[in-house]
Amino acid sequence: MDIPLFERLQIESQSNCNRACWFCPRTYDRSGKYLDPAGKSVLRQMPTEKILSLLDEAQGLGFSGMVGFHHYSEPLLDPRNITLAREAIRRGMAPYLHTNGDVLRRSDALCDEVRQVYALIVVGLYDYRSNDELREEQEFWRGRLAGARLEFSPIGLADGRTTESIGVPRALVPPDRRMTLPDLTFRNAPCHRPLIRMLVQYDGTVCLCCEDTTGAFDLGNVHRQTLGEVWYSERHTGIIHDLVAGRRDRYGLCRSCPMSPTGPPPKGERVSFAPRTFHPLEGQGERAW
Amino acid sequence: MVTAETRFGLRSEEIAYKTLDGETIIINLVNGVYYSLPGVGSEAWELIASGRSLAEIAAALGTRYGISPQVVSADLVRLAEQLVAENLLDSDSGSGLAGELPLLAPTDRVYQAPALQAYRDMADLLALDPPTPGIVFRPGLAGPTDAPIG
Repeated sequence: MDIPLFERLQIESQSNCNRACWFCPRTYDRSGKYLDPAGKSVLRQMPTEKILSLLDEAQGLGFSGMVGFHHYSEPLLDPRNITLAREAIRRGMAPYLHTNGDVLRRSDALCDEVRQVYALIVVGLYDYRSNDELREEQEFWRGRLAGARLEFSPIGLADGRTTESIGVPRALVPPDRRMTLPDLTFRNAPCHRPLIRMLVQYDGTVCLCCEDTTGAFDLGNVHRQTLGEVWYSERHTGIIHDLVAGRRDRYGLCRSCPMSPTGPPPKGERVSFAPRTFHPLEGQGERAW
Repeated sequence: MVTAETRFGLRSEEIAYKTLDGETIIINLVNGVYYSLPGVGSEAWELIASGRSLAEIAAALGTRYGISPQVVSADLVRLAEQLVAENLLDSDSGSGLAGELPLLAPTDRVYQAPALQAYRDMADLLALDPPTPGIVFRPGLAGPTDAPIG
């Protein structure tokens, strides 16, 4: 056990999202995790008792960081959302919300509740077509959620590669000229992202990181293991060590991952990069190594 | 202070770069910011990386594009100041190269002043989701650094 405890915990309470954004890996999933082979949304949820027991487990591990109830789903489609956030607070944690905002647009009462309950609200802004519209949307949410600690999803036009830019490259999203950044893969590039968050999907699958939509690393399932058993497992810590040391080549999903380096390479190594080649099945519905 | 005589060293421990289809992409490995230098900027970057002074580069690019080296030199000083400000170059640390700068073939392309384009979206992503400030890795973890990232 030589990795620190996760700083954030995500327990995805349900599987659905009301959107199908071109820059989201969920849109291209046909594994049955989020979308079935016909492209239809999978509608499932984690039992409330299980979510509460996971919060208890996390508390037992000494966790007091931020908790969200999403992965590649819209958390406010779950009517239990506010209750779950309150349960996190009762256990000394800080709930945070990452939402596309659609439900909040329709409900003043829910806006009041999320303002009161959530320590941080991140609103995804996906519909603007210019920087002026982006600023208008931001102002709208600053007014609608006044008093909340509010952030916006990291997409932008001002520095974008095209005037239509509105998304960063993702491992399981086909290359698209609308991406705001060069679409690259990296060799010898450290990645610390899996150290930050513990991600549990609605069916109990533990994912490595935000690029892992299907549990491709076989880390475990919280219906069979505890959070601590998975987090400190030999397999998980081994992958962490590899990625912090820049060994993306060992894992299929990481080989094709366009997420940027999180630090300099190990001594004696150089980070190099090349345009990303998209392998739609690599790391999705298959083992990631 | 950057002048036409300044030579530069790349901050090679902290950056990675590559030229793809006439566009040089530079990534700051520490903060996740991407940069693009297309066209003349890409050519200038490669020459800066080889240890040439801005005056030498201006002369070569002036010949290549058929314009005054003084014009190019002023543009290069502005570019270099940006590159230094973004922590991509160290001024006065380049060792310089012996011998004549190889002649660059004249081109019909129109000279455009080099412009550094910064893409900070990934830096925002690093900062927001997940939040990295404050993370310190424990000694013994096989990481490149024990310093905070982000």
